[in-house]
Amino acid sequence: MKKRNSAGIAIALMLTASLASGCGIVTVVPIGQEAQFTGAQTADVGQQASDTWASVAEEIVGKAEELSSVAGNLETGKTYAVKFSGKVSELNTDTPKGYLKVDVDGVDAEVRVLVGSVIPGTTVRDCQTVKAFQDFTNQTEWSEYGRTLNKNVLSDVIEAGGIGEGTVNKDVEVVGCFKTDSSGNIVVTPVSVTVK
Amino acid sequence: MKSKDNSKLMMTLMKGRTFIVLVVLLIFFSIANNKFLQVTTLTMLAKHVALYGILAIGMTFVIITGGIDLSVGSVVGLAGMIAGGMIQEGVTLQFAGVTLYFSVPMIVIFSIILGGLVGLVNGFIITKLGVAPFITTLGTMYICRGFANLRSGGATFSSIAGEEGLGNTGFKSIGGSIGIIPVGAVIFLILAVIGAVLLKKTAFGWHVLAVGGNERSARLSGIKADKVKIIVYIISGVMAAIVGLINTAQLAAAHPASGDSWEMNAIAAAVLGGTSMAGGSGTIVGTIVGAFVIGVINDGMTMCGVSEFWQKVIRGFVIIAAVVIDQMQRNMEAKMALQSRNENK
Repeated sequence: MKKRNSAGIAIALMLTASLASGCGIVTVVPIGQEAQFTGAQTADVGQQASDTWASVAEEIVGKAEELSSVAGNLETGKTYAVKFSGKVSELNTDTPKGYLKVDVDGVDAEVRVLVGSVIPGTTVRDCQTVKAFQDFTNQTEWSEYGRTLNKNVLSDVIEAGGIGEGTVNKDVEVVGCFKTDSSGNIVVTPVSVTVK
Repeated sequence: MKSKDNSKLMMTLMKGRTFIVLVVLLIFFSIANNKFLQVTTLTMLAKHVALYGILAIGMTFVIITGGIDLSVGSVVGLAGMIAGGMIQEGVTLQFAGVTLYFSVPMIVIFSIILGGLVGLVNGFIITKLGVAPFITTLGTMYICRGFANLRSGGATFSSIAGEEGLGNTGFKSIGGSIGIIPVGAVIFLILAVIGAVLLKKTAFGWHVLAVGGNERSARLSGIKADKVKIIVYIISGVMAAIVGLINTAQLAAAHPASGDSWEMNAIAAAVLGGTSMAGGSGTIVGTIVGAFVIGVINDGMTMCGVSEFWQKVIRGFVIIAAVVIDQMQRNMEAKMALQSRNENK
């Protein structure tokens, strides 16, 4: 009996919606088939991030400035694309957000390069201009875009480069980006790490 | 005789104090920043004043009845999120396997009804359950803000434009301009005229003033005070929903935190405009001038580079000064009335 009532309500709603639809009051779209009405492709944010990763990395490498030249004149809350080379003095794996400590000539602040199993923040996303917030439907998709870029950092830079225990005491060349914070440390998310 | 003339002059000045303050502020900020009187700045000012002003119209009705509505800021956020969500994601009916995308006029109607419903709930709890307006609307303030966040999980609906194919375009025009005049300012003007006529020229307006002036006497004279109070809260909710729609359309984005603390600007505009917090008196014209004062202070100080923290301090002083002067005016009115009664004897 209950089932019949529900079916009746559903049919009544559908009929009302169809009438309203005819008057242009409402457009009834089967779930997930919006693209047929708008011609737009359903956004696969993860796929978009992976597809644009190469362009993002290329952009950051292209605009990176020498860390030693920007380190002395940092503005709070700003994101910087930088490149530098130096000797790895320590690998910190105390937390999943592990990092390499790199001694960089001409830079007084402690320089850390994120190489752990988790890349925190949205520094890479905020440093690039390939995609903007307006390209996404909402903040959730924008966040997802940032998270997927970070996953690309893990797979394409850190894991592919074999960055880990063996990197300590070696010279590295790093290109990446960082956002200034109150700690005074420079915490770089890399888009390229070359171990010499 | 001379002292009486002085008192009359003083009274006239006090009655027009908000307008005088507005003129002084306009002169001050135009000297402090030569860009203040440019068309682009004034257009921006009109947009801001429209938002606070529409909220303040509803708030004026509520305050005149001796109440307060703290939920309006949250209703702004909720109405924006409901409208933004309906355009961006539609209304999904899982059991029917469809999503309904409503046309913009329908979305506007839904949002306004929602605001009215919040007002109805406020009014019902205050009048029928006897809960103080401050507590009731504090509760609905949190409830509405919570629902606004729940609608998207705290995320923003960005680039709200609708799709031709889904028949839901045109929302942005609410946030657009007619020539150089923002649509929001035109809506504000229309609502202000309706509000002023409703308050001063209709039986309902007199009932609002009577209920706020002396509720017991109003009830004894046959006025349905509960009904009047419920209606003023509905008006306030509807005004808040309209502000939510205009704000969302202007930004082409809906954020669940939109309208946060705006109830304070609305209260400030009403109080600056001479609405008595004790109820029983107030005008829509005064509230409009009050909204302009708040808008000019906010935008003027921002243009002059005054930090947001100092802006809050100054706004606080302005509100206290307005209430103190209001009190002085009332005392003076009472004194003059007593004097003239004694002279007549």
